[in-house]
Amino acid sequence: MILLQVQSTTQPILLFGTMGMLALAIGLIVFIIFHQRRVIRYQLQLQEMEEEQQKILLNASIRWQEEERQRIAADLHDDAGPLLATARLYLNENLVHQDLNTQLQSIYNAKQIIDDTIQLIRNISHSLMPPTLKNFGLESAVNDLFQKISGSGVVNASSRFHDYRQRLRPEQELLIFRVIQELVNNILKHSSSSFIHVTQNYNEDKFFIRLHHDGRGITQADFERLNKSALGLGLKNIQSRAKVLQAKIEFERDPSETYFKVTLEVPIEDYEMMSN
Amino acid sequence: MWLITAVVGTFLLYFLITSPHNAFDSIPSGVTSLTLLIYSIYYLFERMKDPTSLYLFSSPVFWVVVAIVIYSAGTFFPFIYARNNMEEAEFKNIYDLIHDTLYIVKNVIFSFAIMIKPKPEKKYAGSAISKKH
Repeated sequence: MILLQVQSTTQPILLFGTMGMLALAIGLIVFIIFHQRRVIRYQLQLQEMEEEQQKILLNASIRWQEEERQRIAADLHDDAGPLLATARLYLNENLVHQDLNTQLQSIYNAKQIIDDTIQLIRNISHSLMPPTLKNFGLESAVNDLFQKISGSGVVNASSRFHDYRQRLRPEQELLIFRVIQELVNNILKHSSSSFIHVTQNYNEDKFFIRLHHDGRGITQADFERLNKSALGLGLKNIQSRAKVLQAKIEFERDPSETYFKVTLEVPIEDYEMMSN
Repeated sequence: MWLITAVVGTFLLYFLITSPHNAFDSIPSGVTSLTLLIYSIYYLFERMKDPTSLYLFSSPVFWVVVAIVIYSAGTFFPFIYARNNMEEAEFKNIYDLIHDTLYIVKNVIFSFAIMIKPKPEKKYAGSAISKKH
């Protein structure tokens, strides 16, 4: 009798226990599978967003290149073309007029026009690659740029390089200079600020460029929003250049709300070695 | 984990030496099932936390662990009760049904694990971005 009772209690425990354990095990596996699927979905979304951002940056870069080409084409076509045509006219005149004085006068005029054309082509070339940057480095190029801006009398522009012992690689200098140039252009165009100040530092394998101004500026949230929209071609160029430099760029407003600050943080591991 | 392995190993060795050989070893079998379950669950949660293991289902080890979890969880109670009830025909029938079914399931999943082609492990998309900056 007792044995029968024991049997009758053992079998339900065995069955329910086994079913419970199996249910727990299968539940655990199902949970893991669903969790992994969610993670994969999230990763795919993240990848899509990243690809979308890359596409926007690429489009911006292509658009910027096209605009730059159009500008150079317009400069050459509208300025250099007519100047050279006029010089050609003066020189043609020498073939018609045999009078020495007239010939000398037209040669002099042609020379003047050719000088102007040389200056114009030099300006176009300088806008493509500033000679100060190529020959003397980033500090001189930024100082040069800021002197020109200050010379206009509209904005007080100044720069101070605290730890620029050695020049960076030429491509890095050009990219940093272009970022500064674009930022300064934006400030001049949109911010109505009265001063622009750039400082440079080097700390823990990082090359810092900080730009302050007291006009209307943008914060990091604005920068990211504009980067995702079709607007803000200049900002997208800044972003793509920062990406090439593997740099971080941060737009912020100072706590006292008197000025805006942009920080460019470029990782340069071999800077100490370069300066030795 | 090494401590658990050492304790369980010693315990099983002790049982192997001391227990009578004509009866079912319920306690060592139960302990083995529990230990395997603990190890398997630990492995699964570690893999879940690991950011490099994105496609867990394409890993043969994952399916081996799944087979172990199902078999160990399902056979835990039959093993525990087997020592005292093995002589009863009704219990033996249920025991055989549960054990044999789970044994087949385990072997099917093992076969699947052997046949599966492991994919190269893929990293999180986000880790690439953070690495760049």
